[in-house]
Amino acid sequence: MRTLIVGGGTAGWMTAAALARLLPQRLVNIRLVESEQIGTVGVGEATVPHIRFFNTKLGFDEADFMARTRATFKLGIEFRNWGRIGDAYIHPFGAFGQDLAGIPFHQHWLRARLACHIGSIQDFSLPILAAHSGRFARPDEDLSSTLSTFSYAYQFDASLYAAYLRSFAEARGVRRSEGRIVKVARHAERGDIESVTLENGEVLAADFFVDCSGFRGLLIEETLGAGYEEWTEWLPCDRAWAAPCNMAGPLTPYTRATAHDAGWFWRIPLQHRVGNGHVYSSAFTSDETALAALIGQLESPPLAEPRQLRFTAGKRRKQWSGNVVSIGLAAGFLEPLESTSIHLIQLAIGYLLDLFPGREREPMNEAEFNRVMALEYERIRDFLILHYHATTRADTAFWDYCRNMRVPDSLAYRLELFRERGIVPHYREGMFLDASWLAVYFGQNVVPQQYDPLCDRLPAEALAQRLEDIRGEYAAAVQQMPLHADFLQGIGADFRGAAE
Amino acid sequence: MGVAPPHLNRIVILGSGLSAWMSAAALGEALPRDLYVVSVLDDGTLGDDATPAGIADATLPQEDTGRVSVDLDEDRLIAACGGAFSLGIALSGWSGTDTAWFHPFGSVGASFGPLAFQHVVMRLRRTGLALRFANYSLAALAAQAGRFARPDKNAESVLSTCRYGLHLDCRKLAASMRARAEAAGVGRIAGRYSHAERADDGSLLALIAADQQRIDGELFLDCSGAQARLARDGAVWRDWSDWLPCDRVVSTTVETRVPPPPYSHAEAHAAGWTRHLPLQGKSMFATCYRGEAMNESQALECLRTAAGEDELGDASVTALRPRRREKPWEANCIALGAAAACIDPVGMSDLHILRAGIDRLLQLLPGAACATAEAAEYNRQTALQLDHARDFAMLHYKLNGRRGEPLWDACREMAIPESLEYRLRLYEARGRMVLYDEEPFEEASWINLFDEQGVRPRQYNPIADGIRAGELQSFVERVRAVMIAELGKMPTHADYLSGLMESSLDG
Repeated sequence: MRTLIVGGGTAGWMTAAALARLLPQRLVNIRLVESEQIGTVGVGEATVPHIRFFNTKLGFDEADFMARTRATFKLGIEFRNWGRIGDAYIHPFGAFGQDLAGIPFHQHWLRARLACHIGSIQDFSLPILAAHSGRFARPDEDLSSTLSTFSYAYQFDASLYAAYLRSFAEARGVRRSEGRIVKVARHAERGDIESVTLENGEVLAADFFVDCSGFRGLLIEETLGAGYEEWTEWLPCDRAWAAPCNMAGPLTPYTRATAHDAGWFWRIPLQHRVGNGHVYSSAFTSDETALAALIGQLESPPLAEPRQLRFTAGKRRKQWSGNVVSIGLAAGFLEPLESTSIHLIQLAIGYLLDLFPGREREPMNEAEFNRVMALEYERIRDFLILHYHATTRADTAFWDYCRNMRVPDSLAYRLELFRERGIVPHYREGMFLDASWLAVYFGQNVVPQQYDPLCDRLPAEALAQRLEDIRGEYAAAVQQMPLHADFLQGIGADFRGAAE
Repeated sequence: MGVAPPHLNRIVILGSGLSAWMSAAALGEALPRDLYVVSVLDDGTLGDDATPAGIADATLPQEDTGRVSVDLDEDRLIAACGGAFSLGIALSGWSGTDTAWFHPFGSVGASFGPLAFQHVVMRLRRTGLALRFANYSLAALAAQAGRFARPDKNAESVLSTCRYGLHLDCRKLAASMRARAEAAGVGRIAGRYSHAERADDGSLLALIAADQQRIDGELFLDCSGAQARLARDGAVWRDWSDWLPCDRVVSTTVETRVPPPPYSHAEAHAAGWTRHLPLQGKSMFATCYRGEAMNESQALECLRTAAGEDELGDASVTALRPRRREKPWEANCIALGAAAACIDPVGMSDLHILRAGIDRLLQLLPGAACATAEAAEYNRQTALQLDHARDFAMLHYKLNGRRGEPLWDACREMAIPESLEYRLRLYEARGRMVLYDEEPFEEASWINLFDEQGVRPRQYNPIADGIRAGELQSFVERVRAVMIAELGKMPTHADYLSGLMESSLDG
């Protein structure tokens, strides 16, 4: 089975590395074609904890991987100015509190907050406390320990990650071709793609193609016309400026997303610099204003000429079509507000391995891939929309639009169920679990009208005491964690922090 | 933006069977007693409602989610009900008149790197090996050997792959639940139901008994069985009789001295099928059949033969009407048991669905009588679960291998619902099992059902072709060897039960 991956970058090299590692060598022959003339989108990149499973499956050593990608640890994302100007909350990698009497913690917290000044639910999360105090440790493997109640991800340089994956993949037999694709040949009757031709005339034929060519979707869209489902009406941001700078602020073990007039700024601290960007809607602000806003809030002068990115929120109608599967930006775009880009690549690779095609064309493989990936994209989409919609901001036309827009039915349903009774329904596909939804709901002032009536079975005084105990446990546990900077140094990282 | 305190405090249950008392016990034990009043209008005429297949039934394995749920208090129930454990269901005559297979609970085999077990099996079959999934299930091996142990919580242990259900006498189970409900302060009002009083919007205000006694409430549970006495006029039902052909059931129990095997048996015959469900000291037999294919006296004869008895004491034929309510929760009334749905019991899902419904109610219990979001979510989850359970039962008929019998020949030809069609097509294509939200059955159960009823995928994951067959073969042999070694450490089901009975007597 000849498999050709079209496009390097994070998506292409993650796919190449995973297929080379997890598919038997005698079964597939993997090539990747990329062009150095075409830039990759990878800027500073923040991830979600699932990336660790990916790295573990490939057998990466964490310290080595972090040194080579200039990575830092990440315990969550801080959201500033979203629900209201002046508000701040963290979406942590970990649950809030502990369930009591079989009832979710947040229900007890809702009840307690009526009776006494219990404080924010943010106080009941170890990763949030650790993030605020700039601390980090790996979670304890002993699940009875308070120090086991969180997870973590990384912030790294995506171009370096791609390079790291490339050397891994090439060492495992992936052959790389350099050059721009000038022609795509299709089978006359079936319409399947048969080969691509490079500028230098080289023809690369394959049985199966993975389109990692980025936004344009060279094979999936430009050749096969899979179609694109646009979500701009709910996610109006369509451009971004990106610029790195030296670290002058703290080496936070978290990413920051600060809402602004017509979008938001990201701040991703790496070992050697800080990745910054401004995601905005061209319908509500100009490129110049957006760039000036980004530069104006940098903690130090930009290290490089700011780069502009253009995109359209949405996804391919068929991410897998015929003998082409699209992965990464070729498959769809969801803004990096919740650091989901790499996770979507990882998910697609996982489903591709489960549904890896044989020699005979089997339409059910693509039907199933498209079914599950659509669910994953739509559910992340809904989660992102929530950030924009759950706001009382009325300071710009952009926020008026977001506040008043009609959200997808699937999100309206979830919102109503939460507002009425504090419930977050489960689903099998969809990466964000209860804790994530709760973080954003409470962080953006979406509060249920009632708490779970079964809570009242616990005497009020006992509950108040229990909550104090839990808060105390977390406060004590966080003191046992080293500073993020010290922890990084301990594993041999070489970073330039503000302290220097 | 403030959180309002709850102001729903009277819950009224109509029913006299298992659904009513299991709900009453669960609510009584979970709700704060000083704030709520739970009452059951126990109309003795409504009968056993949750398990139409008979006086005894089985639970399916249930995952412990850590969330508030019906507490079965297993050891005490088994002691009180003369119950037994179940590791699965033996099915004979379904994939062909002379064939048999076993539906084990728990997982089957183990994955080989990124390869799910079924792909390993399918690859090895191509080399000529005749493998069956159940031979790689600890539950199936233990059932065959008459052994039982509870699964190990340690996921490393092979014993963690087992799951089990319970065989229970439903009348005793209902009595035990009633005792628990009453101990938890649930009030029982003995009386005939006359009618309900409703507000203009159709929501219930009170139940009125025949003696004019009035029971006011804010939330009502309709546990009145297939009659669904609290359903509003015009309540919508989805009829499933095109998919589940059996429309009658008759059952009986017989005394026995044989220790109960840890599984039940469902044997298909020309007009339907007969279940044997073993308990301690007795066995329950039930024949489900289609009235067009067999008359009542033939059905009784069939049951007599299965039970090995010349006389059947109390056996009487009842109707089975496969269907579900479009909206089991409407306004302030929630239907449970047969008032919500009826599914052919071949999948053993009745008790499982009843418990799941009560658990769902506990998790979605509203603070106020007007609870449209909670009702919508309850109905969404319930509909998914019921439809999947229906699909599972339906496959036993759709994929049958009995040739030349009109009932069964027709079943093979029937069109199936879209969600099941997709599941079947994907499995046929690729050996991959779709799992939807709110699945009542585990992945392994679906795969084994497809496989034993004759579905052979056209492809398997080609990754399997990259691995030497010899390597895969020694892998599956190792999996089985580990299970067989574990089997030797498990007590017999009879010993396990007598140990449990002794310690419950001591306790």
